[in-house]
Amino acid sequence: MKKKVRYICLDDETATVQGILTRVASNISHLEIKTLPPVNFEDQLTQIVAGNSDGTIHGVILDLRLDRRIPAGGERTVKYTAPGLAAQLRNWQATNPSKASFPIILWSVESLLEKGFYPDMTNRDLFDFIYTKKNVSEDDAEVARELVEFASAYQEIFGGLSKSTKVTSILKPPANLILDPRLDDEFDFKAGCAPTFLFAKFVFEELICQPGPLIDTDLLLARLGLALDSPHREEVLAALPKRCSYKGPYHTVWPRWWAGTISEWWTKVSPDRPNLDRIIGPERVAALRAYLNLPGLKAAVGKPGESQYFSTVCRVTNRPLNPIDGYLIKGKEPRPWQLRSYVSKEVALDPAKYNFRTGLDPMEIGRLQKIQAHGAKKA
Amino acid sequence: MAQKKLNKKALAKAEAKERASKLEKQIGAFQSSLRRELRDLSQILRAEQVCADTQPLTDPTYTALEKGCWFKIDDLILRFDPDKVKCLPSNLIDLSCMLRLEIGIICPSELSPHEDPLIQLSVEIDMRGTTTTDQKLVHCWHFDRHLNYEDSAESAGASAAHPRYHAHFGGKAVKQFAFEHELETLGSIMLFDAPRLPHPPLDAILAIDMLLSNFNPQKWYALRERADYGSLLRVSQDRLWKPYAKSLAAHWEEIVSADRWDPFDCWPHLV
Repeated sequence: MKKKVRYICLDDETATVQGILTRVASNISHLEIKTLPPVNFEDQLTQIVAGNSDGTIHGVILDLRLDRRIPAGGERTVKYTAPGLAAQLRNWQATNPSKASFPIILWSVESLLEKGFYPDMTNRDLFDFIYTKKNVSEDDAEVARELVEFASAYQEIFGGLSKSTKVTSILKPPANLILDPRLDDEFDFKAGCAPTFLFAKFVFEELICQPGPLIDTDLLLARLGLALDSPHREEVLAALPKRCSYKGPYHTVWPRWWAGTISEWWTKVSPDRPNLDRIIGPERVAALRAYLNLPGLKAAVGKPGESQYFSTVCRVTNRPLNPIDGYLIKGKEPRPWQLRSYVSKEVALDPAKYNFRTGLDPMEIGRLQKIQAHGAKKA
Repeated sequence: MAQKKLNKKALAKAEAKERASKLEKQIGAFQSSLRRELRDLSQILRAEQVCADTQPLTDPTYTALEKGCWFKIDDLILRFDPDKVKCLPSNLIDLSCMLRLEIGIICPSELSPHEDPLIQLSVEIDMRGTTTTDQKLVHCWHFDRHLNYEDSAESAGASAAHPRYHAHFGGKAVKQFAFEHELETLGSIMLFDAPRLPHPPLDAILAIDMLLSNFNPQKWYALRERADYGSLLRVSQDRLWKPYAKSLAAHWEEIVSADRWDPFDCWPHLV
């Protein structure tokens, strides 16, 4: 029987949100989410810290605006918002690294996040994840899995940090896979002194959510040349050696693969042409069909005129892409081990249609405008 | 006597171990300095807005070799303004260049004065254009070191001139483009395996400099105003072009050396 994963959710509208959270928790038998109204700041801190210490709280969900409720004829119940409480909790976690830690999740209505959270850059680092109430309502099963995974990752990382504070050892890479040594330059803590949340957020944000030494399934299969709708994608994944599969924190809900192991596997698939990058997609798939005896595998072909040396994917449609045909997505300066992300031309030209809101790197704007201007002239 | 022999053997073994350890340290230091150069280049290219995605320079694949190291840079993309490039057809609206490079380079501490510093080189330049009629176009060069020069039949006079370091238009990349797009011909353009023109070897810095000098001269001049860029160029040119130029100059000078790099390898047309 699996150990209980207990979250508390602080929301000033408990009656409104109780139903949603009950539905979330109902998806996983060992997940509990207790919905509580916020209390005064000091008592709230004490309650959460005590709950974490006695094992009754493994994660915290905070509504952004805890301070909106005003009982009839009275004053606001509390006068703080989620970022204020989260900052104090993170401070407690940082100064008590030997205590078990917990993820802090933010949730709110999209409009309130746009108005009251995103403009404040200083708050962005406080939370492990941000959900809109709409997401949670529409995707309760997936949210449940993610909540359990966040709590589990914190416990795993906390356990790992008692032995080593190297990021590379937390990731549990396969034997003989050399990772970028700059990963271990990120933090400088002695064993037992490292705050879990720093490592947890780093692994999640800089390694799981960004392609680099770890890549997601769509990127892996794109590099092998497979079409998005190819049959037998699961069989191809199952045929990969165990060492290719990432088994560190967050791996259950966010499966990832060690990019460095794929090219070494490819030398067995295609010993005559061992350099995967130098073969076009259809030829990679031809080699896979023969090696795995899966004649039904379908090769990605790309749009007419595009390169078939697939090495990335469009981050919106997930279709295989070569960066030469893509448009670089706007983002913060990448770490040395990270790869940049691209979108395809159709997404760049019509972002509204694809709900692409991140935007392009400034150096791509002029290039896109030229194509748009030509398109406008034609019309 | 036997003891003396044993001692000598043990001493030789210890010395060999020490040499190997020293060599490993030197190769490690050399590899680190190459990484630093690429990282510095990546920062300059970003700062000068020459290249949006410089990650291929910050994280190339490295392997230590017996006397040096090998590294590979994949898919470094430079975007050029088609309005500033003279081209036929003249209706380009998008022009991008992908650079791929593999280089095997000997650690300077292991290099003799007249020895070739490279053991492997492959530089592929794959340019892709789009016209106003949405036609996709390609233009490829590669700058290579001839493989297995000493053993191949070509060196025995069987085939066309094949300089040790050469530039070649088209080649596999264009043939691949034709294959990808099911083209039996490339319009009225003929694609030969020859000529392979002698060209000084290029590493990543020299290849990017060459591309900018030809397709983005404005940026090229701006970069050359920077002391840090100039330093990087100077190091690469010293490392690769100086021995190349010296080997050619040796044709007209008396240089006697067992490791002398034969100028005919570089320029088969010399007499």
